[in-house]
Formats: sequence, structure tokens, C-alpha cells
Amino acid sequence: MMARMLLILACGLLCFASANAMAGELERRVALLYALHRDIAAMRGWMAGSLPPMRLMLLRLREGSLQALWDGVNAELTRAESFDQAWKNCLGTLRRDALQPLSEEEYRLVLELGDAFCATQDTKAQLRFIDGLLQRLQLFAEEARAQTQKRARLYRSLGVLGGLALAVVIC
Amino acid sequence: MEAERWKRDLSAYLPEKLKKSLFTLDEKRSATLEEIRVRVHRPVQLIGSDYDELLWQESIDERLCAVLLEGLSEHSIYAYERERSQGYFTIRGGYRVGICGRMGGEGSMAEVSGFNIRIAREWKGCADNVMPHLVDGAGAPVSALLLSAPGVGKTTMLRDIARQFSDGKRVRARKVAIADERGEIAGCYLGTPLLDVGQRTDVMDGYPKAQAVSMLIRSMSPAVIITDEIGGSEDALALRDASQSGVAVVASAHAGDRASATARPELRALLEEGLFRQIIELYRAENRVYARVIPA
Repeated sequence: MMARMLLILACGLLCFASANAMAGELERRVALLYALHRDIAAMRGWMAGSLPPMRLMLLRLREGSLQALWDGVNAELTRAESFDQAWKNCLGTLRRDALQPLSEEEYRLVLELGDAFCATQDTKAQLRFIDGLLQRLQLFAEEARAQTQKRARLYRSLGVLGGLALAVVIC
Repeated sequence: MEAERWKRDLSAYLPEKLKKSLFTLDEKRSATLEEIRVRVHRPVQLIGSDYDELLWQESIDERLCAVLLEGLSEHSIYAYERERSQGYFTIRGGYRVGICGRMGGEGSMAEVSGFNIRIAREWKGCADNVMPHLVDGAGAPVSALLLSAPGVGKTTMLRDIARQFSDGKRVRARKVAIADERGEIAGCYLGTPLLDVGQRTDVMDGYPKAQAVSMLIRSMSPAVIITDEIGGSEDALALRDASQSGVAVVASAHAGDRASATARPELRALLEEGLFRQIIELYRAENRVYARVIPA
């Protein structure tokens, strides 16, 4: 009897944990997209205002939630010939790690930031480019949030129901 | 070692290909290197005080030009927009990078096809013989104008004059302020001087000269203001303001000698008004730089 109770509890918890993990993954993706938007918007603000050099911008950004990303870019810049190259190398390294929640389309959008700092563009062109990127990133983040709100609730509900169903079956 | 400092300073900015050939330069030529000129599809040119040679094995294509521009600007070309529109920018350590290329929209430079990297050098003591002429009988600083053709060493001399006034070498120590519009005198990085301009020196980095002089007089109460390449009417107005406030001004201008200087209306006016007590003419002879001090 006791063993059956424990089994029911374990299965229920497993179902709930799995559903929660799936919901959590969606929420991580949303948080990541908004964090990227925030940080790139901050860069845009500095480029239009106080004009700090790139390395100083990266040092400031690393104090936020995307420390691994900005530290990675900073490290790549010591080896790469261009920001674009450093950015792509760093994102490639983080694709299966910190950037794993991003969809393929979102990842390709973020990759485009590498083109923003091409030295042959003047500042206005660079700012326009980043503004366009931020708009599209904002759309992705809002879509992801809307999806997450729907699905996260569904997954968690299904997790609870699944656990209950297993309990009934086992009993 | 000062002679090789440029290698350390420029190492982070240059593409590997260019670094390899430049850094094999022998010590003698390295110590006297003055300019590195890079032009697309042409050999790299090295100009020293007594040599001018082409590195035929190195030529740069458009891609490497773009890489060089991005490297020199530390991936931050947006931070040099104002200067770039004037055809140059100054990188960490006080190295002026002149650029030329095709004009794009709104006056920007669309493609850069040539660079002139001027090697900044500290030459402590180059103003030793000039300093006694920059104070009056009571030891108070007097205003002076440095004249020479481009590339002879006005900025290097100004830097040492600032240092000597500031640290009290050969003259009593004074509060010094530098209006460093192009960033070449003090070699500031993020507002901090990287070149030795003295312990009692304040630097206004990147501001237009006239504005910088005005701000320095009102906020830093200097005894001496140092500034480079004066010429326009606004500069002249600012220097008059300084002089009337009792501040000595040591400034430089592009002119071979006093006669050439008086051909420029603003300089002539300042000289005729007696703003400058001394004129220091710098000239090159037999690969050495000499200074001639004459009363203004």
C-alpha cells in the first residue's frame, strides 16, 4: 500500500516536473529574447550618446544577465579581425548552451548584429541597422511571450492531469 | 623602450599580415619611423626621419582596408564620426590616423582607400633649451607661438613644454591646462592622458579649441594653456580671452616661420596685438630638429 502510494507520488511528480521543464524552456526563451533586446538597445543608446569604445560597452553589458555572451564576444575580439567575425564565433560557441532556447529564425536574426559594426558604414547607417534589428527582435519576443502564456499554462495543467491519470491507473 | 613603443601600442589595432612585416623593422629604422602609409592595391610605405621605403611584398586589398579601419577604431567607428568627417581620427596613445577615400552620403566617407598612421613620440627634454625663454624675469610664464611645417615636431615640443611647466623642470611648477582638440598632445583614452604631460595638468579632450579654452579658464584656473594648430577666428578669440584673463598661452600653428605666419590674417592680428611674447620656429636640418626662439 505504502509502496503504491509512493509510486503514485513519484509518477505524479515526474509528470509535473516534465511539464514544468517544458514550460520553463519556453519562459527561458522569452527572457533571453527580452534580455537581448534590452542589451542591444543599450548599445544603441550609447552609440548615439556617450560614444564609449566597443570594449567598454561589452564591460558594461557583462553586468547584466547575458554575461557569458558579452564575455565571449570580448574574448573573441582579441583573436578576430572584425566584430562580425568575433560575434559569429561567439554565437556559434553558445548555440548549444546559453542560446539554445532560441529558434533557428531568432538565432539568425541575432547573428545579424555582427553586420551592424562594419567600419565602412557611418554612424547613422549603423544606428538604422540596429533599429531595424531591434524592431524585429521585439516582434519575436512579443510572439514568444504570447505563445508561452498559452502553452505554459497548458503544459502545467496537462502535467497535473497526467499525474492524476497515472494515479488512477496505478490504483 | 620609447623607440619601440609604437609596436606595443599599435599591435592591438593592426591586421596580422601587416603586423608581421612592420614588426620586423630593425631597431634603427623603428626608432626614427614617423609615418606608416597604407594604400589599397599599393605597397605599404614607411617614412622615417632619414628614409622612405616601400614594402613591395605587402599590398593591401579592399577587405584588408576595411579590417584595418575597424581595427584602428577598436570596432567603434561610431565613436570617431566627428573626426572621421574631417579626414582623421586619433587612437589611443596619441597616434593620428589620417584617412582618405570616396565621399558618401551626408559628407561621410563611404570607402577608405588610404591611411596615414603618424607615430606619436614622447621626447622628454626636447624643450629644455626653450623653457628659459618661456618665463619672464620674475619666473612667470609668457605666451609663445610655435611655428613649423607639418611633421617637424610641434606637438612633441608642446607636450614637453606642458610637462616641464607642470612638473617644475627648469621653471617653477605651474597649473597647466591642455585644450587637446585632436587628442594628440596628451594621447587621452577615455579622458585619461596616456602620454606624460605632467602631474599638474588638466586636459580637455576632443572639444573644439575655442570651447575648451573657455571652459578651462573658468573651471581649472590654469597658469598656462597649451593648444595645438590654431588658425581660425574662433581660436583667436579664445586665445585673447585667455590672455586677458592673465593666462599664458603656448600654441602652435602651421607656418614655416614668422613671415609665413603673418600671411594668415588671424595669426597676424594676434602677433600685432602682442599676445605672444616669443616665437619658436622649429626646422629640420640634417635629420635633426632645431628650435629658434625670437621675440614676437
